[in-house]
Amino acid sequence: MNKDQQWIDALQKGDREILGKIYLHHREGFLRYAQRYALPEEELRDIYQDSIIALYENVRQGKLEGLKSSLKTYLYAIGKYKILARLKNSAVSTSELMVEPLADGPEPLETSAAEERQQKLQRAYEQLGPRCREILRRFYYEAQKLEEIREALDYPNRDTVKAQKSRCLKQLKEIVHSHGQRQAGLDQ
Amino acid sequence: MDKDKQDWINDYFEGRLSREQQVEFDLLLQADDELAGDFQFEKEVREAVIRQERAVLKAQLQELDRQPAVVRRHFGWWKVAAALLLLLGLAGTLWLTLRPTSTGQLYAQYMAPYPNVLTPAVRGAEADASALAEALALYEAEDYAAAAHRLEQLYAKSPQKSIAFYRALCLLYLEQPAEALVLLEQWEHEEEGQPAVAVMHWYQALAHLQMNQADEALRFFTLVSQSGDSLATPAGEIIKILQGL
Repeated sequence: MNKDQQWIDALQKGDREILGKIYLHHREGFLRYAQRYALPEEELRDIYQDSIIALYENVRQGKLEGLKSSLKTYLYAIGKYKILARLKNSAVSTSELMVEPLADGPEPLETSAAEERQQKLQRAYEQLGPRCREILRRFYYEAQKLEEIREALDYPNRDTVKAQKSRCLKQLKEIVHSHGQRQAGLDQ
Repeated sequence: MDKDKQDWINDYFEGRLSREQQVEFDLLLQADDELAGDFQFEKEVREAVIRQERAVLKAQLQELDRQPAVVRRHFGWWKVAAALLLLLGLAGTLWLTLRPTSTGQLYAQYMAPYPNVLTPAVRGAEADASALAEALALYEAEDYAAAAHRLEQLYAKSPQKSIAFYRALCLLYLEQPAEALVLLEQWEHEEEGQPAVAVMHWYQALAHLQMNQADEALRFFTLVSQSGDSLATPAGEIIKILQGL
C-alpha cells in the first residue's frame, strides 16, 4: 500500500494527526506552486488550510474512494479551484468562504439576525457534553448515518442513537434559550 | 409503520429520501408548522456544527504554522553517508592491518551504526516525537534490544520507513539479519526525507555477510559501488576482498 493510500485510510478513520502531517508535508510545495497567482502569501496560506479541510471532509464522506490521482494532485486541484474562486470574488470574506454550503446544504444565511442566531448555536454547541457533540458532529459534519454512529459509538440499536440525538438537540435548544433569557435580563 | 416526524428529518439528512418521498416531505413541511420549525432548526444546527468543526480544524492547522519550523537537516540522508564513512574509516584502517578472511570478519569490520538524523529534527510538539527521541537515544547508547522494541511500537502507530530503517539496524546488531532484510527490502525508490537506496543496499549487503551469503552480499555491494553514492568507494574495497575469499 502506498503512502497516499495509508494516509487516506487514516483520514477515513478520523486521524487528525495524519491530517496535520499531510498539511505540513505539502505546505511548502503548495505555497510555491500558488505563488503564480496574484494573492498575498497569507491569503494563499488561508486557502491552503481551507483546501486541507475540504480534503478531510471529502475523505470522511467517502468521496476519495478509488482515487486515481495522487493525493498531492487532488489537493492542488482543490487549492487551485479555491484560488480562482477567491480571485473571482475577492470581496468575499474569509469567514464566509469557510462556510461553503454542502451540495444539498442550507442556503447562505444573509440576515444579521440569522448570523447572530448562528453564532449563538455555535457557542451552545461548544457547551454541550462530549457525547452530544460527538453525535452531532458525526451526523451533521461527517454526514454519518445513524446506523454508522451506532456502530462507531457502540449503541445497542439505531433507535437509541435517534433518541440520544433528539435529546442533544433539545439540550442545544435549551442552552440557546437560556442564553437568550440571560441576555434579555442584561439588556433590561 | 408510518414515519414519525423525526424519521422524516433524519432521512432527509441521511440522504435516504427517494424523489417521491422528497415530494411528500415538502408537502408535509407546508402543512405542519411544527415539523417545518424542527426541520429549519436542524438545518441551522447543521450549519453551526459545520462552521464550528471547520473553525476547530482551521485553528489546529494555524497552530501548526505557528510552531517552529521543522529543523530540516538540509544535508539530507544521502549526505549523512559521509558521517558513516568517517565511522568506516576506522574499519579501513583495521583492514590494512588485519585483512578479513571470512564474511563474518568482513561484517564485523564494516558494520557501523547509521547516524541518528531523525532527532532533534522531528517537531517537538508531535505526540510521538519524544517517544522517537527516546528510542533513538537507546539506539545511540547501543541498547539495540530496547531500541528495537520501542521502534516496533512506534512503527505500529506510525508506519514510517525511517523508523523501520533504524529498527532494521537494531536487528542487525541483535544478529537477526533475516528480519532486518524484510524491513530493508521496502526501499525501491528514492523518496524525500528517506535514506538513499544505496544506503539500504549497503546494509542489505552487510545482512547477507552476517548470514554468510557471500554471493548475495556481493550483488548488493556491486549495486552500491555503481550507485555514485559516497559509499561506492568502500563497497568497491569490499568487493575486492569478497572476490578474494
